[in-house]
Amino acid sequence: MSTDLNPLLQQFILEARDLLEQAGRSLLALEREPGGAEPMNALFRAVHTLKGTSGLFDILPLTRVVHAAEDLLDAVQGGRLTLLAETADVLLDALDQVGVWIDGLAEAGVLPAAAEAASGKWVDRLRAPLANADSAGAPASVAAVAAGLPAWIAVLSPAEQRSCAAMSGEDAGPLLAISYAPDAHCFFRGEDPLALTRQIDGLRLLRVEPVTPWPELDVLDPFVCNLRLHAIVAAPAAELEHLFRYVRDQIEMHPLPDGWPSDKPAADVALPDDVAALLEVLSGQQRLLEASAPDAMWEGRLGSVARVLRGALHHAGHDALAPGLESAVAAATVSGEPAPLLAYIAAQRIAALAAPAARPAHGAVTPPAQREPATPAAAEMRVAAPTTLRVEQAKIDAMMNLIGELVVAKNALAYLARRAEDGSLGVRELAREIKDRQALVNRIAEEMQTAVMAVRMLPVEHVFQRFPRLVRDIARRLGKQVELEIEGGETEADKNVIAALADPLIHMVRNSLDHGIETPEARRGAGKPPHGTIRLQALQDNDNVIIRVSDDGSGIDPDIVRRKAVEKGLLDAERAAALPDEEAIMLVFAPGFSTASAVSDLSGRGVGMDVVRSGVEKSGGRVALTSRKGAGTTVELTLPLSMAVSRIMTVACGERLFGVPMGLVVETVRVPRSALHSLRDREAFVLRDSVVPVVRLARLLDLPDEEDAADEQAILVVRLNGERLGIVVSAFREGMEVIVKPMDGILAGLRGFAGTTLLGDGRVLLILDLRELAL
Amino acid sequence: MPLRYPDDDPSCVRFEGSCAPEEAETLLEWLRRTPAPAADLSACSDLHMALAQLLLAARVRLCAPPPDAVLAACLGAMPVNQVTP
Repeated sequence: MSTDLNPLLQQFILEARDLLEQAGRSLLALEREPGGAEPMNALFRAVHTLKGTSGLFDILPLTRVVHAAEDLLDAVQGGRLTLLAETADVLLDALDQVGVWIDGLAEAGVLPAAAEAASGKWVDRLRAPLANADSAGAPASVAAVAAGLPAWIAVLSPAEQRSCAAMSGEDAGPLLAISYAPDAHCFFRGEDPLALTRQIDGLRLLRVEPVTPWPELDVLDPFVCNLRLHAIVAAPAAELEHLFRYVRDQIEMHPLPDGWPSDKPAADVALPDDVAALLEVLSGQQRLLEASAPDAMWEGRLGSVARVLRGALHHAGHDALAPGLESAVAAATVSGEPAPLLAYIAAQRIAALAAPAARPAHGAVTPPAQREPATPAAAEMRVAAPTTLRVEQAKIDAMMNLIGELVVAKNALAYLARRAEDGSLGVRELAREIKDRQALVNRIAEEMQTAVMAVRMLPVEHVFQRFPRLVRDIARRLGKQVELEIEGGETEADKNVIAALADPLIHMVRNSLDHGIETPEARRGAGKPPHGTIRLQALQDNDNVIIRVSDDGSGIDPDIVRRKAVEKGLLDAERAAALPDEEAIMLVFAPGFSTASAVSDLSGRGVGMDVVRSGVEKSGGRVALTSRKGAGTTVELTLPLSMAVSRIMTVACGERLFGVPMGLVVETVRVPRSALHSLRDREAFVLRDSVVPVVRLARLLDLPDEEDAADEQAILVVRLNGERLGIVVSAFREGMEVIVKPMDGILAGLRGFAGTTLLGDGRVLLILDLRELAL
Repeated sequence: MPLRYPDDDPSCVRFEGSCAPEEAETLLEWLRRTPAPAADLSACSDLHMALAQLLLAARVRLCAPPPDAVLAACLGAMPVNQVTP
């Protein structure tokens, strides 16, 4: 969060996030337990408070959306509306949107520019169920509330439609139909609707028509605007919203359905034959008039068009319209332009369409309901990392006390130095005093470290809280019934660990939803309850936090895994067959592996489990997987509780010291030189009846090979990706707790090192990244 | 003066450069007294809607459309008002 926001706004942002989260939780609870008074009240309270506080700031679009949500909830609370899944979807999406705006607010101090434009749409969506409930008494599907095409679109000639389509094929952007009815007195305000329209990027078609028939020139007021503009535009709605922001109320926008215009004239649908025939004649004549022709031919052509139209009108029983035709023909003959006749034809087309009125003529061309760009997906991708830490007062007080002690200890050193100077202390005494002081500072430093760690500890809840929503959305999309159980959310871990957990967990839960849990039918067939269960558990185990994701789905079939692995060329058939089931299952962690036969948009791009493993191992953790075919799968992540302080073991390579993360070290052994065997160009030794490959640290680091005569070789046995590896070093040194600083600046690209730390004597210790070095 | 009423062709008004709404009054006067008005917009770069409205209301014949495609489309100079972005 940028710090130059005013404090009141900062407070609001924190509060709004809390309220949104609470509202989301209550909504989900309400869905599980329809009619529950407690979650309903909590939901209403949260939205109501949000609306109230948002009114203090200049964020009207946000307030409007929240207000609409409150109205909707008010209707639900009052029993006028039932909270259906669709309504909940709209509410959740709207809350998501508000969340996005709040994020924008936190970043920039103002709402995103698009908020103004989007807000109206959200309000409409939120009000739609309400309108249904109030009028028809049936909270029917929101999707059915879709706008028909504006009438002027329907009367566009096929040629005009084609001209839009021909170009829309090139960049395939969605087309928008815009009607702009400028205020009659807009000229007095210095507005020029035409100039504004000219600024539209991607204008495909423009029509201008008088609002009322032109009066005689003698009575025409040149400064009263009597024009209306219709346009078809291939431009993002947001851009247009911005362009027309000052005259928004004079603009109507309609997204045109995909594939508009369709090949057959849209009006053909659901029209009686005679009207359709008339329309066809009209558009045929329109085409004829539109086609360019030498001037000499105009009169003849006009005459023939007039004859055809006269006949068609007579046939269709519209004789009353004939006088209009005659005057239009006359006007066209005089001006030498087809425009009057074209206008007449257009008017007739409207009339023909209007004649069979009350008929859902546009039924077939109703645009699909405007769905917001896949908000569930957006919601799950937007990992709202907590940017501020909320700390209990007591923790800060403890740190304050420690600082006090530290200042006293520091002052004592100056006093000691003075005493050393005036020679009142013997060397021995001095050494003892220094040791005393050191012990004191040491104690404070340790307590300080604990206190700071405590501040950085967050409950795992932080990651877990987004899963109810994610599971609900995905399960709904997949047509599965899934119950999510969360346990141990209060387990604490370092903020960095929590952050590192987020991505792997999302992959794992998605995998469970997508591949694990079966459809209700399949589950019934297998004799299980129709709804599956996914369990998220967190628990602390010594210095580790364990996160377990288990489902009671179909489990992993080792045979399918073997077959897939062979197909993907991960290993040959013989080796695959020889693998025990447990090891075969582990193949799902191999890069480029996917068991789902169809790639879905949720998981199954063959990256999921691979990402999980590499993500967890990067943070110094482990992944374990157990699965029983037909009974379910359990994945267990083990992560260090804190990543800030890590235990390392120092080893010497010649004169140099290096650190190795203690988590990797299995054991240290000393073996006689003769116990090392050369296998081709590699070395190995036998450790308790199994062969362990050996590499030399000096060679890995390109340091001079020291040919020491020592009979014994010091070998550090580490575990990398589940395999043991021996590393020959010159000597083992002490283990220590250090704070590893990552490599930065020009050193950031250096491979093979995880970071640096300072030794007590001021030397820099390089921490090795054995995975990068040895693999 | 962006609007010129040439002496050699009294029924054709020439629009030149940027044509502002202040011209509307004069244009209307001219339209009222000219029997079959025509307009040449080949040199017109900007046209205020008030002027465009008058051209449409008086059904003025275009001897030459404006070079700008949107303006031309507005005046109905092209049968299919196709405008390249």
